[in-house]
Amino acid sequence: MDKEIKRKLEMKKPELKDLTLREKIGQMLLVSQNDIYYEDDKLITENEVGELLQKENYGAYFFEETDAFVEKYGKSELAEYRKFTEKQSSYGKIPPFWVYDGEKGLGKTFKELSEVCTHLAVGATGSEKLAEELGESVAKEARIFGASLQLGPVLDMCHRFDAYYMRSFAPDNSDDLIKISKAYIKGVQKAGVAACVKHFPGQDRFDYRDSHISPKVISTEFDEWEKEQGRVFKETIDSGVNCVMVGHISFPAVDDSALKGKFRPASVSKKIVTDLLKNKMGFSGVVITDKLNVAGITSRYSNYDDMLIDLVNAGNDILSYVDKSAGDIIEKAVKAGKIDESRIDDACTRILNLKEKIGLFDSFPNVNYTLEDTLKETKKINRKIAEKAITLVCDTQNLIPVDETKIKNVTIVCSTHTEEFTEKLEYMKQLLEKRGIKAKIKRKIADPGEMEMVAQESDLIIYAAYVFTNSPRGHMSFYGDECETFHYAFSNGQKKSIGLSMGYPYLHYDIMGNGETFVNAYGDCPALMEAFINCIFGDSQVVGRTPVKIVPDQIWY
Amino acid sequence: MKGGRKMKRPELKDLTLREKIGQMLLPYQYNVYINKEGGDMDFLNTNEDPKYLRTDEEVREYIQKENFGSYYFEQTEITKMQTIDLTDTRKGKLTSKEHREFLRKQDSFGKIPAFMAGDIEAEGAGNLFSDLSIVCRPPCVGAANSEELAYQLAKQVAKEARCIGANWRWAPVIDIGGRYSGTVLRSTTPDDPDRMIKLALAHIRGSQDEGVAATAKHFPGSGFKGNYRDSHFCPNANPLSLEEWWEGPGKVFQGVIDGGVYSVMISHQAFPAVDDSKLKGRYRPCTVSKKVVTDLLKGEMGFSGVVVTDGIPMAALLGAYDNYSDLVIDLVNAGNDVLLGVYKSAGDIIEKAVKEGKIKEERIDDACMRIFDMKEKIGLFEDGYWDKPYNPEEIVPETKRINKLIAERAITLICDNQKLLPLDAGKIKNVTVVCSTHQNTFYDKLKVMINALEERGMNVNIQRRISSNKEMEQIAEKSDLIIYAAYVSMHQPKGFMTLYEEECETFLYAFSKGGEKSIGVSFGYPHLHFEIMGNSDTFINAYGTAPELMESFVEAIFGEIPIVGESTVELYPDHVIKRIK
Repeated sequence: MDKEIKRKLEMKKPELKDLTLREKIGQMLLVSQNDIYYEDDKLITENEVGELLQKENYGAYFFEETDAFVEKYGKSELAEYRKFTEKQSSYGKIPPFWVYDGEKGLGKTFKELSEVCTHLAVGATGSEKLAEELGESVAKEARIFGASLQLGPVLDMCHRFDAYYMRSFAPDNSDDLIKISKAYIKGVQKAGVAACVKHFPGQDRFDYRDSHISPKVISTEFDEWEKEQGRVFKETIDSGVNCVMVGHISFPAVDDSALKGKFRPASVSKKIVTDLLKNKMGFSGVVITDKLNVAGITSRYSNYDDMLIDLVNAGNDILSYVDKSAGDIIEKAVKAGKIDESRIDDACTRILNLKEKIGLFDSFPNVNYTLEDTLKETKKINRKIAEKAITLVCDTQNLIPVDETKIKNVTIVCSTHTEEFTEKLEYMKQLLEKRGIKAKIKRKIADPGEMEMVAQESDLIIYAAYVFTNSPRGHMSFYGDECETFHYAFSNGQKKSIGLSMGYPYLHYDIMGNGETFVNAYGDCPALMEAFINCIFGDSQVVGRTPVKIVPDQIWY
Repeated sequence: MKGGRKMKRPELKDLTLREKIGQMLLPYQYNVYINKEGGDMDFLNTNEDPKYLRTDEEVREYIQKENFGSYYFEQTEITKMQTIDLTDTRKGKLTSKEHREFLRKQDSFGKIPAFMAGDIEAEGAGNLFSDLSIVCRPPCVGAANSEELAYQLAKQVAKEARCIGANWRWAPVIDIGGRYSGTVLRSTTPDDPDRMIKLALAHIRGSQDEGVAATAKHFPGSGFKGNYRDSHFCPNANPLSLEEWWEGPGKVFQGVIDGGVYSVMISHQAFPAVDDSKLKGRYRPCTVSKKVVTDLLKGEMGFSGVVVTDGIPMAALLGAYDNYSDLVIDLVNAGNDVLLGVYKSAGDIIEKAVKEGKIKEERIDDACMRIFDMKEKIGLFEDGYWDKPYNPEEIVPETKRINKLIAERAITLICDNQKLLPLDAGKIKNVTVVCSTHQNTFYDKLKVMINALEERGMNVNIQRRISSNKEMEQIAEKSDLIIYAAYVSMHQPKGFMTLYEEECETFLYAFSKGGEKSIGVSFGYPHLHFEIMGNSDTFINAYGTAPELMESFVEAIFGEIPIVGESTVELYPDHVIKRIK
C-alpha cells in the first residue's frame, strides 16, 4: 500500500466535540459512486474527487463495480479494487463504511467472487449451521477488498405476488425466518462485517405492491404485526444485529398521519423510526434508509429539502442515495433550527460506535486469510446448501429418479425474461454432456409443431424457468412470448418432462401446472444446477423442504 | 355470389350420422383453408407455406365432406390466409363487405346454413375492420349503468357483426370476481351480480333482436376474486362451494338463461364443488364434466339452447389428455353441442365412437336439435338470408352516437386529492402525454386524445417512457399538464395484467416531479391506480380505448362534461381496504 495512503488511513476514533457540524453530517450520507465521480456525465479528476470528499466527509460508500471504476481501471479488475477503496477512504477524516448488497454473494459484482444460493434456497435447507457458514464466508470475501457493511439479510414477510417475496429465507414462516436470519447475521458479523436487517417495519401479507413505485401499506393491526413481522425484527435486534434499514412502506397502525393525502412512509415517520424502533424495541445500532431516489418517497415531497429534514428528524442515521447537495441542505436546516444538533450527534455517535465495533479505526481492515481459501470454503458450503435445497413439488408420474442409461437426448426448454439465465443454462448442458448425454437448449416453444419436434427428438425434456425479483420488474410472472411456451408445454412428451423453477417457487401453481413432475430450485447459481442434475438421476436424494406454501391457502388475495 | 341456397330446416331423419356430427364441429378457418394434418395440436400456424392452401374447389369438397355447422370467422385474414391473433389487435385489410361476401361464399359450399361465429366481445369489430366501430367495453356500460344504452349498444354491435357476415357472438361475458383476471375488463360489473344480470339481459336482447345469437360465458363463471390463472396456459380450479356459487355466478347464469340467452359457453376451469373427479391427478375441466354441462346446466338449470365449449386448444384442457380422440369423445359425452376449434379429424373420431357405442346417437341428435333451433331463431333458414343489406355507412354513425353517450357516463374519477379538476384550458399551453403500455396499437389510438387537446389550442408532446429522474425533471419543467395514459388489458400483455420491465420503470420516476399538474388515466385495467400508479393524486378510469372515451376524457378534465361514472369494481383488495380506504 502507498505509504501516504496507509498513513492517512490510520484514523483514530474522534470525539464528537472534535468534529465540525459539517463533518458530523457527512457521516450520515451515502452518495452513489457515480454522483461522486461524475459531473455532468464527465469523469472528474482525482484531485477534484479528493476535494469533494474532504469537504463532505461521507460516512459510507457503495462497494460495487461502478462506471467510474471501470473507466479508471478496466472492467472487474478485482486486484485493483482494494487499492481503489483504500484511496477513496483516505480522503476523509473518518474511515467510511463500504457497503454492499450480497444477497446472492458478490459474484454479480466481481466475477472472481462467489455467486451463491439465494436466501430462499438456504431457507429450503432449514439449516442454521449452513446459513451461518454462508453468511460468514461471503462476508469474508467482501472484507478482503475493504467492504464492511452488508445490506442484508432481508426479513420481509410478504404477499407472494410481491417482488420482495424471493428475498428472505422464509417469507411466510416467522419461526423459520427468525432462526435462519439470526444464524446468518451471526456469520456475517463474525467475519467483521456489519449486518443490516431490512426493510423495517417489513412488508404486508395482503398488499402486494412494490413500495419503490406505489404508496404501499402494512394493513395489519399492531398486535398482529408484533406477533409475526415485528417479532422477526425484534428477535434479530435482540440477537445483536448492527443495522436496520427502514423502508418507504406506510404502517398506519403506528403512524396514521398523512403526507400529501396518503399515509406517511415509515422512513419519514418519527413514530416508527424513533419511537418504535429505537425506543420501544431498544435498537441502539445504526438506522439506514432505503434508497431515496425512488418515486415511493420523492413523489411525497415537492421540495427535496423538506424530505431530507423529515428523514433526519424521523431518526434515520444514514441516508442512502442522496444528492451531493444533501450536506449543504442539512447544515442549513440545523442552523435554521429545523433540525436539532442533538439528532445529528445521536446519528454520529451510533455510526462511530459501529465503526469502532467492526474495527475500522487505526488501520484499513486487514485479514489473515487468503482469497483462494475463502473462495474454496464458500464453494463447499454453497454446494451443501444446493444439495439440501432442491425440492420436489410433485412427481405424480413417478419419473424421478430417471434411469440415466436410457437417456441419450435431452432438450432444455428455457423460459425467462432475463437473457443471462439462458447463458447460465449452458452449465446445465455441460453437466448433462459430462454424463454422455446429448443436450440442447431451446429458447421458446412457439407452436405445436415445435412442441412435437421437441417431444420426438428428446428422451427427457427439462422445462427450466427463471423468474425472480425484478426479473422482470413487475409481478413475478411470464409475459407475452414467454407465456406462450406454456400454451404447448407438457402437451407432448409429458411422461418424459420435468418442470424446474430456478427462481419464483410459485411458477408451478401459477403457470406451469401441467407439469406432473416438478422441482423448485430457488436460484440459478451453478451449484443448484449441479444439485438438480444429481437429484433427477438419483445420485443424491431430493430432501429440500419448501420454504413457502406451494398452494396458497389464501387464494383470495 | 348471389342468392345462396334456399334451405328449410332439415329433419333429423333426413340427415346421415356424419352430417349431424358435422353440425357440432366448429373448426378454425385455418383448418378449413389449409390442408395440413399435423400432430395433435397442429392448429394455428402463421405464415404457412402456400403449397398447403386449398383451392376453392378443394375447400368446397372438404366442407361438403365435413358439413361443419359453424365457422370461427375471426381467426383468419383471408387475403393472405394468415391467422389473426385477436390479442394483438390490428386492422383487417378487408372491408366488412368483402368479408361478408367471403363468408357468404364459404356458407354456400355446405348443405346446411352455418353459424358464422366469433367473440366481437370487448370493443366491437372495429379493431379488425377499419370501416366498423371500436366501442366502449363492458365496464363502461357497467359504469354508465343504463339498461337502455346497454341494449342500444348491443344492437349496434350486432348490426355491425351482420356487416361482416357474423351471426353468433360469444358475448356477453358474465363472469364475476376475478380481480386479477381479464374479467374486470370483460364483464360489466364484476363485483355486482345483480346489476350485471340486468345489463346482460339488455345486451342479450339487443344482440338477438338483430339476428345475432348471444352467448353467456364462461359457465360456471369464476366468481372468486383471487382468480388469475389463465386456462390458456395453466389448469386451474374454482374453489367456491355450491352455496357460494348459487349466490354469485349461479344466480347470474340462471338469470340470463331464464331471460332467454341462446347459447352458453363452458370454461376449462374445474369446479370441484360439482365434479371432484380427477383426470391425470387434477380436477376435471368443466368442459369434459357431464355433471357440470348436462346435469347442472342442461338439467337443473333448464338450459335448452346451444352449449359451446371454450376454445379447445388451451393448456388447461389439452394437458388433461394424452390422446385427442379421448378428449373429443369426452367433450361430446359431457353434453357440449358445439366443439370450438376442432382440428384433425374430429368428425371421423366421433363417427367411429358412435359406431363403437362410445357415444350414443341420441347425444348427437340432442346437439343437432339445439343447433337447428338456434339457427331457426336467428333466421338462417329463411329465404334470402344473405341478401338482407347491411351498410356500415348507415350503421356506424348511430353506433358512434350511442357509444359517445356511454363514454360520457363511463369516465370515473378515482381520486382528485389535489382538487386539480376541472382544469382551466386557457392556462395550459404545453401538455406531455406519457404513454405506458405493452400494446403498440394503443400508442396510435392516443392520437384521438392528442387531437382533442390540440383542438383546444395546446401543444402536445407524447413521451413513450420515463427512464431517469433527469428525464422526469425535464418533462415537469416544460409541461403545464402531464397526462399519464396507461393501457393494460387481457392478454395485452399475455400473463399478469400489469406493466412490466421498462414500462413498469416509468413509475419509479412518474409523479415525483410535477405531481401537482399530473393526471393519471387508465384506458384498460381498472386496478392500475392501486397497483402501480398510486402516486397519482388525480386519477381517472376510462375502461377502454374507443375514440369516444378519449374524447370524453378530455372533455371531462376541462369540465366540459360532468364526471359521473361509478366504479364497476372494488378498487382496493378487501383485506387492505379495511385499513386504508
